[in-house]
Amino acid sequence: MSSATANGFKQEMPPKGGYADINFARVVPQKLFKNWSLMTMHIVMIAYGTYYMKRRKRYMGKLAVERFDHYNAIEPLIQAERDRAYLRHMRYNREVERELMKEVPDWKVGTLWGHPVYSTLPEGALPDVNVNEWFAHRHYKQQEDFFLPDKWT
Amino acid sequence: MRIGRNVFIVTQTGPEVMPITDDVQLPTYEELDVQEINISHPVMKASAMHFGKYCDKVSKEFMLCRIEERDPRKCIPEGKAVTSCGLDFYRQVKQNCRNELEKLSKCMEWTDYDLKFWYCRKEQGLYDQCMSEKMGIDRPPFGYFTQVRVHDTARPQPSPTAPEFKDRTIGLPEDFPVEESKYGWRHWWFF
Repeated sequence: MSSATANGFKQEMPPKGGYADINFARVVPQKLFKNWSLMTMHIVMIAYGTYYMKRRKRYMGKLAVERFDHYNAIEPLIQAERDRAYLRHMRYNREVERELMKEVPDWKVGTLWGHPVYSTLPEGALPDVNVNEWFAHRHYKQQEDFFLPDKWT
Repeated sequence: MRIGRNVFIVTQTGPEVMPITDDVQLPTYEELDVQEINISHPVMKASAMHFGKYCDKVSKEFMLCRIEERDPRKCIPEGKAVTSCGLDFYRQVKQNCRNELEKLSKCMEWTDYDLKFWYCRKEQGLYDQCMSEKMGIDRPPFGYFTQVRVHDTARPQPSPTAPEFKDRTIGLPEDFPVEESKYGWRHWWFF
């Protein structure tokens, strides 16, 4: 009910007869199944679950073996191509370094001002190359792709 | 990131130098130019087992060489042999069983992210049948390539390359006096 004052302002008042009673009685959940039947259902589900899981795990293991089978069969093809690309890139890096340091005096290609990087390698051995040097003359995105190949770039 | 052995550090941060000197023998671009196989990964994976059987000897030779020598420069001829064997195989497949292989590879590519065969058994069966009828290559048994395979070669095994240090420790002579320890093991639970 509104009580109009002199300004015409309407104030919010409780309804006629007052508010209803607040229900604070305890609500007990409904018992859908009996105790023993619930227990047996749980046990049956667990038993069936373990059986299914074992079978599924064995199947997934077989799929994994199949996957590795196929990969191992192809590995020589891919590795041969990769080796050739690796050696090609190595030569390219050496040539680029030679060109870059052409006019710098006292610079020997592959050494730090004449001092070799590795001291105990046998003669003519292929040394390890750091990743940053490997991609030094390439875009940084190619180096990122080496570490995180499935990036959305 | 890989860390090289005995990197020579000049400043605190250390410059990264390309360690390939002129003394290191690298093959030329002409030596490495070879007709490559222009086939995508799903197709290769679909035909992997039969390729593995067809080029078994050459593949094993190359992988053994690579593992023993630990140097890709020494295994270039073997690698070229593998690639040419692969080319042979795929040329034959193109003539005989091309459609089946294409269907199988498309099925694999579009049904699974990991290129598994679990939704493509029908196509796989057709492809296997075609291969065994027309090319005479049967599928190797399940798990053949995941097990250890033995290979006989005429190539000699390379000797291990360990550096000999000039200032080795001499070691003790044989008749050096050995005394028993005074207080035993010094643990209360041993004797």
